[in-house]
Amino acid sequence: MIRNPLFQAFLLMVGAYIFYTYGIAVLSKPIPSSLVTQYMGITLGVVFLYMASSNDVWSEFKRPIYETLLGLTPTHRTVRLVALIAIPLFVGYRTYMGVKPSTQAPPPFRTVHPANPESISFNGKTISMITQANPLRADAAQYESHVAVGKRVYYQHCFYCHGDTWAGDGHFARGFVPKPAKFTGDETLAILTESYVFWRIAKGGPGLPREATPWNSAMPAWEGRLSEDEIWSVIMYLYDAIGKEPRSQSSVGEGH
Amino acid sequence: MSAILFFFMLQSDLGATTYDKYCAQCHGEQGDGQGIATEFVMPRPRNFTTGVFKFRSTQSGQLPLESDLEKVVREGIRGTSMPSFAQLGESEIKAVVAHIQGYYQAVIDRDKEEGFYPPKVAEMGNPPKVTDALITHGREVYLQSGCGDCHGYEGRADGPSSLTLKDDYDESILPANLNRGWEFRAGHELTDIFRAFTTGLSGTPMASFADAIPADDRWALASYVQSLSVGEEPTASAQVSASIVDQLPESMDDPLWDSAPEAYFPLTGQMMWAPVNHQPGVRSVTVKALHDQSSVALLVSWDDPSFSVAGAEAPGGADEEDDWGFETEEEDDFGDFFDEEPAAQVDADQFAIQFPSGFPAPNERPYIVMGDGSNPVNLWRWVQDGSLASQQAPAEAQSGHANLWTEYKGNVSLSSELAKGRNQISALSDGTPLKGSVHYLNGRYHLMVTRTLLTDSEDEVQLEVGKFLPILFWAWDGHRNEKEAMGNLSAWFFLRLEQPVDRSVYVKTAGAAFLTAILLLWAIRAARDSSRQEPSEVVESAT
Repeated sequence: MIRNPLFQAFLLMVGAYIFYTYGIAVLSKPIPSSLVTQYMGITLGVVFLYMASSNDVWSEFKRPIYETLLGLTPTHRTVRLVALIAIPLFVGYRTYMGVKPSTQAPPPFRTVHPANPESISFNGKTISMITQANPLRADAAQYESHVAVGKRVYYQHCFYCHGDTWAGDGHFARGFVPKPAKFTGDETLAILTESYVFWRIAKGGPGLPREATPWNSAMPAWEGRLSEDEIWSVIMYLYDAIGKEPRSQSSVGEGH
Repeated sequence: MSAILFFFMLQSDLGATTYDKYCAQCHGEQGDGQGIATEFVMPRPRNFTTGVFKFRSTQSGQLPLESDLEKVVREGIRGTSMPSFAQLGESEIKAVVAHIQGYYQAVIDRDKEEGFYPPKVAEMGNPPKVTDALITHGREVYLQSGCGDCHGYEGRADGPSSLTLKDDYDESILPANLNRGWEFRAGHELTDIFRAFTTGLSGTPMASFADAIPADDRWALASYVQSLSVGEEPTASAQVSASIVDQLPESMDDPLWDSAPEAYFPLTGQMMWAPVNHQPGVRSVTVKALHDQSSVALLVSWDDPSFSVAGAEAPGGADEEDDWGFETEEEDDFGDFFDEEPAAQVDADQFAIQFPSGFPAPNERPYIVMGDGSNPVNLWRWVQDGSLASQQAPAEAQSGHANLWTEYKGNVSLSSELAKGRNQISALSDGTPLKGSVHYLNGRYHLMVTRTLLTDSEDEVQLEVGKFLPILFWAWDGHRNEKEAMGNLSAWFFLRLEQPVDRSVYVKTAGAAFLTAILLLWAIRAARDSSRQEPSEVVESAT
């Protein structure tokens, strides 16, 4: 049996399926099931190509199928009956799953870091998103006192959503979709410039461009509730607290 | 010797720096609970200088063990602003606890003098196997021991004394809602619940019952309390699905509702605009929906321990800074607060369902906080107006517990409003009447509302079958003076009115299966034909 090409092809297909669904997931990241179906189709094509490469292999390959179709022995007849019922049922099931109306809520399409405007107007003052660095950093001697102001701002206005340890898990976070931004890690503050962060704090959810679903965000627009210095201070405090450097303004120009 | 001294200095240094970085913002630089964030947390942060701690493994009235405090720092306190600081590492946690102990050194010294230090661990014993009989017995203990006076007949923190409770800081404090196990401060494990009865929660009206209730009964009580809810908060549903019925239910008691799937949506305090609701009164809703292709019925339920009609005097003084901890049992020395505070007035409990105005666009929604000028919302709002009729307690609660039973019922009307932001709300005079009924039962509101899917007003939401319709929920607890934009809201979710079953789905399914069967039969026939033409080949290969 093990020498039969049909059985070998069967084993190969099972092995390929296991590799595509679990093996790849272990080696790198899991792939979507539609891609698995596509890979399986290609694998089947290659198997057929190999089986058809010589007449001997081909006749050995198709012999068990042929014998089953003919129903040569009682075993063959049983297999034939089972296949005659199971295969149409399987095809029917797959068709049903494909054509039945979907009850799955549409996935949210949302740009997490939307492109920033070139400049914003903050209480009537123009702040450039390209060139404006954190003005409070100019005087290094004042660093500690700005961070202290920023800490006060954070623990009076921000931490109940963004969390005591800046991980986006404050006690209000459970009710929001999308979740409040997590500042630790390499996906938010670490890759953003301070002027970008200023824009996000000043204009909040309502100030997001359309592709970032401004209607869903619970982030308040802090312009009017916090002063310009308070916002620059809280930005300084955040970078200090998470121990990361902001992306420099100049590298934005070069990067794009 | 100097090495040991050096180690202790390092240790206290580490404790102080860790405390200043992570703890002082709430608990204060002097450990007195007066930090920069104190008024923004729920509940009030612990004042370490008094040496009074809620969560201990020690006997009533004694100080906690180091390990009790370390556990709180490591795991946080569920349902409060106290997060887990597990990422600090064990040496920092030990150092910071040693530092915190310094704030109540005077209390330690006093207890040493009086012979209460080191504290004695409360007797726990072994937890029994939880059975239905044990839970039933636990319920009897619950009602007979007076737990319901604060925690209510069904445990929803709505007992007759609930709203009058005060803690050691003379702040209003609500008993735990025993139907929300994920908010149990000390944990939802059987031993956690048993320990709370046994040690008591110092500084709160929740006393120790170690002497009043025998251990066996306390285990039964713990198993009953545990059986009321789950230990982890349910995940938010993505949508509420309304299945099709021939005729919509007339009332919320209709058995048709039993088969409708229930969606769970968390609510938070509104914080996008000042004033921020830092002490949210309603923290989740459950929703069911049904439709008959011309009208939709929604059944929404939410917990509120206080049944509030506008203008009524607040039993304990309306207080936005209520705690809603795992605590109970009024103590006698809390009884004199009426003399100290003028009676405050409460506002009306309210509830609203928010939809986009008109035909909802698939990819764009109004702003979550009641829309804006370009994208208005349609609010279906119910305001408690005192018209609901009080109901008598049923026979099962009559025998000695009728005072724990709170029930109101009645038909209500909801207003249909157009909101272009939180400050621009107008009632729609041409709106379609929203028929509703409300049932308040032992700490839980149930609101049923029906409306035609389509209406004549272009400002009202038009509900199309088969579409994903954005929906959002608002709730206001009048006892906390929540009103206007200072309420509790969910995020946008979806309401989906299921489509009638499409026959073509079945035709396609059956067709595909039938065609496959034909194909297989044809293959068998072809195989037979070829075997007749070349019988020798088959016989050869078969042998």
